[in-house]
Amino acid sequence: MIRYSNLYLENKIILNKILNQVKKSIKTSKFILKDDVSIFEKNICKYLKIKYCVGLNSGTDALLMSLSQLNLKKGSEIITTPLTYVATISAILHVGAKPVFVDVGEDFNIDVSQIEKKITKNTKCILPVHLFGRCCDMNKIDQLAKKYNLSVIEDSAQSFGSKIKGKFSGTFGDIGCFSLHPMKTLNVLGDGGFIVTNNKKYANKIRTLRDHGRLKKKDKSLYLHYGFNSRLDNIQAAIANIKLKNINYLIKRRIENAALYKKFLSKEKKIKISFLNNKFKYYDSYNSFVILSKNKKKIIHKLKNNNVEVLQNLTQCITLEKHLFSDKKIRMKNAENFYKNSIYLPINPFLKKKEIKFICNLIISSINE
Amino acid sequence: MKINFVNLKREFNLLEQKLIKDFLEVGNTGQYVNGKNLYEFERKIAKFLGVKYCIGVSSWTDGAILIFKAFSLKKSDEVITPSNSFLASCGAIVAAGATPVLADVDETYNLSYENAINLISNKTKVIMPVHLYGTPCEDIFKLKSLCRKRKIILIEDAAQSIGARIKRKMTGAIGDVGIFSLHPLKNLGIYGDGGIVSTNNKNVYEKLLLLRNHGLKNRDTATCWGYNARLSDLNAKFASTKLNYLNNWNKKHRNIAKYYNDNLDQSIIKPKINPNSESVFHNYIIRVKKRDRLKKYLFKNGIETSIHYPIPIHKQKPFINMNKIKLKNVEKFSKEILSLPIYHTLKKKEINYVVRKINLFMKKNRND
Ligand SMILES: Cc1ncc(COP(=O)(O)O)c(C=O)c1O
Ligand SMILES: Cc1ncc(COP(=O)(O)O)c(C=O)c1O
Repeated sequence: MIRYSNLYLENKIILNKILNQVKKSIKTSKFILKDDVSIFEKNICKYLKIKYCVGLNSGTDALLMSLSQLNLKKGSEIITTPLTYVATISAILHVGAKPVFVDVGEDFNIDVSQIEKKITKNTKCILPVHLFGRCCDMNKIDQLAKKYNLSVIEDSAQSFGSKIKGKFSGTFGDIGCFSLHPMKTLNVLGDGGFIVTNNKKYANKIRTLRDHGRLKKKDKSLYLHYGFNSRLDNIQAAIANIKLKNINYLIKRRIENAALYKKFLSKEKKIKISFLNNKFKYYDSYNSFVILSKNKKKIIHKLKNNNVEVLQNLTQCITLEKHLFSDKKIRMKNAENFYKNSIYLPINPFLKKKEIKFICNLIISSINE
Repeated sequence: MKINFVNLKREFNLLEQKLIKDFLEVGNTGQYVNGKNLYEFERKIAKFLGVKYCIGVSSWTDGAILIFKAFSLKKSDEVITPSNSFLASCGAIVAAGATPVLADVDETYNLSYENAINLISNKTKVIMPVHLYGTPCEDIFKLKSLCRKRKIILIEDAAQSIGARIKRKMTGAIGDVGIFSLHPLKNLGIYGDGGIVSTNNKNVYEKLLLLRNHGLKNRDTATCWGYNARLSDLNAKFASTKLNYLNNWNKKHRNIAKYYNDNLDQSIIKPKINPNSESVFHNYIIRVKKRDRLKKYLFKNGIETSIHYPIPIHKQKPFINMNKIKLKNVEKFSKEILSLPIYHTLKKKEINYVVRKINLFMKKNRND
């Protein structure tokens, strides 16, 4: 059996280390926003080379709280991609704004050449999603944001550690949003997330928002405004600190696995492979590895029969869901195609070379049958 | 002697081996959200509370926000809740986009029928009494029939009252919905944030399952716009283990409370013990005029105390910015209440010591 995720293996190796840390936290009664959280935030700042980090309860909350900083009004528009996790879009709707979709390009990310014509006087923000560990073209997005005076909030949930010319995903725009969900590259044993920013005002506001609007000063606490409960658990922060020590290795393993897939599959004409093209020399952290093929059904069938676990989208492109969008037809050709033809192959750090070879052979034989 | 206001280390030492086993068990599954440990805990706690459905959520606050969303509350919809509570009770109402209407409380520190009925308008959508300090709101059944008559939703803030009963019914299992907190300091506490929503209403249950998990009915298909408000499997497992001890621990809380009630100086106002209900004494509250001096005195003698809550919600900046109101009892109480140490690992000699010091202080200061 080749599993899609080998999280239990990733954790097994460090479970005792984690356990000791957890015991230490519990024995000193450190549960809510204690020093493991602030250490985590410092570690992230150092790793991503950014000024502020605020630990939160999830990537979804990171998006919600970031968007809530933008003084949006009813009718405010936010430009984003239709090809993303549902949380990106629900966050936009929950803060009362309207998502305006721009179709994806070659690399499954927002097609930056199509953004400008969607900008109107109501546009407030561009929300790029760095999908599968590949950064969007932030150069172009930055140019547009400057030209039209727009905010940029990055959804970096799937791209921890991804870079463009040494600059990390999440550090390009006004705020970067991250998830620590178990399926993410940097993950914890439950839900978690965080934001990063160089803007002190945003950092301070989100820091109080996550804790019921409370500002803690030594013994006193002051409620500045209404807030939420969206605290990163102290224990999860302690776990993330342990995992961060090893993150470069884990990312390296994903990149090596991706390289193997590319090596074995790139000659096949009937499939399209994630990020085969890397003309800008992006550093992709491969949170997922996706292939597209018209023969999707056949391939998945073959892999399943041989005990290879893969994922697929069980639904159509979200913009086609009538019960979610009552708007007249929004057509997103590339994204819609993606939903029809995509297969998510295992890419986790504990996958072996011979397993990848095995998977690739199955794929090749299934399309040629 | 040094007596902390809380001492979770003792509880952990008691359960250490079991909790470590839990940790390794969940850790090795590789299933940390929406896994079987969550569902097992949900079934177990539903049985404990005597309700049909329980949903684990990421905190009381998130549970409350989702519930208000599930009932589609709008800005013009009013939620009546007491001002004598943790700010989050009110914060959640605002976060969900509805309008809080803060009520006074009576000598029980909880919302009374009279407090509530005076505030009802045709905009009232929800009444949310709080079983504060783990003591059941005495008027909960009266409020229930009132709500039924007026077609108002009754939501119990049971954040502090897990296991407490009134007329043999569990708090949180009486209204349309109950919401509990699993915050580490609660009687059933985990090692991070978490909460539980309880209900007998299948529609509410199904709506909440969607809302807490991005509106997803399976891995991929969203049926509505939701949130991420899940209780982690690890914490669900810990809570499940601790639940085995809860009744016993709550009983210890009651015994300590009774001891305090029986032995503290006559001039101190103590919590009334209602024969129809079983409080779980999440906090033990006394009332004295010289509260601040007593607190200092106890601190000097190694006894930590706390105040729940020094500033009523309606006096907090976020509320004042919108509304200025006067609530006589809450304001008076906030200057006189003091929370004494109460937890199941508190030792007899420690309880004795607290009583002795308080009584000594009262005696010395009898005449001023
Ligand atoms: C692109 C994207 N945005 C947002 C999220 C939401 O993150 P979380 O699950 O931590 O709420 C995810 C992951 O689930 C994601 O992949
Ligand atoms: C009465 C009351 N309501 C709400 C809350 C909020 O709970 P949580 O911290 O789980 O969000 C608390 C506890 O902090 C509480 O005591």
